[in-house]
Amino acid sequence: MYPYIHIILPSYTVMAFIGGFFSLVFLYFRLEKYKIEFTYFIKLFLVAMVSCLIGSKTLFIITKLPNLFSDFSIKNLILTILQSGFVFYGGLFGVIFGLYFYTRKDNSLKERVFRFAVPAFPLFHAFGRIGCLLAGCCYGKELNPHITILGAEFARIPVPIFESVFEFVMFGVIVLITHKKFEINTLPLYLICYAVFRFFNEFLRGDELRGIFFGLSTSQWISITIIIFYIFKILKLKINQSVCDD
Amino acid sequence: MNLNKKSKKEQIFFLLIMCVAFFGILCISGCDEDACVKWGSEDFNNGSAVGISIPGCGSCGDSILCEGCICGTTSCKFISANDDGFNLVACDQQYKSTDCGGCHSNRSCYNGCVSFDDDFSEETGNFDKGFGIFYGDNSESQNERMVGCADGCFYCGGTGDIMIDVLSALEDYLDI
Repeated sequence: MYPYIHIILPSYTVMAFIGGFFSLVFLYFRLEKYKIEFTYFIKLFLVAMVSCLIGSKTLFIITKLPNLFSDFSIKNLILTILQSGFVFYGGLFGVIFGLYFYTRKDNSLKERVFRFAVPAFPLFHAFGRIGCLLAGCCYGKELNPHITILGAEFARIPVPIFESVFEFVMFGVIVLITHKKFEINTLPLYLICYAVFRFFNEFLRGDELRGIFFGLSTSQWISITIIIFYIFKILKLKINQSVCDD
Repeated sequence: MNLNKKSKKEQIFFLLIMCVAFFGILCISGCDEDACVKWGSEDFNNGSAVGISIPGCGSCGDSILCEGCICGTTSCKFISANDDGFNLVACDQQYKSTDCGGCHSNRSCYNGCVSFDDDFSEETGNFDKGFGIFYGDNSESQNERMVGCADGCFYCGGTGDIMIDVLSALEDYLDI
């Protein structure tokens, strides 16, 4: 007799599922405001998910390329692809490129889709980081001595909590902005804020398996690239404006 | 079927179904560096070993052995090996410890079956023939137990953590 079935659920996947579902429901209630049909929303979701998986895997594989080239074989190549994990930045850019590609033929639709979708990025990621905390991945450096906050003892810097709180705040800020000013594209704001936060947060992380190049992690290099990209973009805009004013 | 004309409840239910499907796929793939199914196979002189590591999903063994496993399973490693009369089938369930606050301390519990048909060794005192089932966890040392039969005699007792050493060596060897 075996009257009970014991099921252990993986905390990361459960939190990612909760974050994903909340994000979808949140976006669902914005469909009317942004004049997007439900079936088109489903297509956007599928495009976003597929491109998220491809993007996050691709970036992870890129960080493993030096190892792959040092001992290259077809078997190692296949194993690297199959055994690679997921990284947030890869997933984020995968979604951005996927949505950009899918809506490339209609500029006004493209802008509308991004204004509509951006708040879901930090909302999903905020829950994902809680999953990281529970699963014990993406952890911080060791604390010596341990610290106790609200009765919970921490042996490491709770980096995922910092990131989760930051993402919830970003979600709130972006929702407020888009609620007040419908026309604003909040993607640059989110990317810049996240890049700055992630750059400094990386110094607190204790898992160095994500690739360290010249003393900085892959995520820090991506953060620097994002910041430089937007600095150039803002400068170009300023120069164009001053030329127009003249 | 025009989904645009469905009621809000039906549409949200549809979203839920999509989420379950997508995150089911994600569940198989796991998260971060320790992600994704790994497998390996190697041949020895007189045998071979195969192993597969499945991350993220559920339990592969008796969860009673892993009390306090509130962080969930992070991987289940199945191993089958044979070498010169020694046969082993085992499952090693690895998970993070209860100190969840980003502490990242690995633990594991494991169980399996083993049979051996070796020449008797005076030096080590190994049995000629035997089989048994074993289980253990690494929450405390020398916690491994085995129930079985060796040279026609029933045996039940501690093993001195022999099998986890064998399992760990095989996992390293197979790179899973």
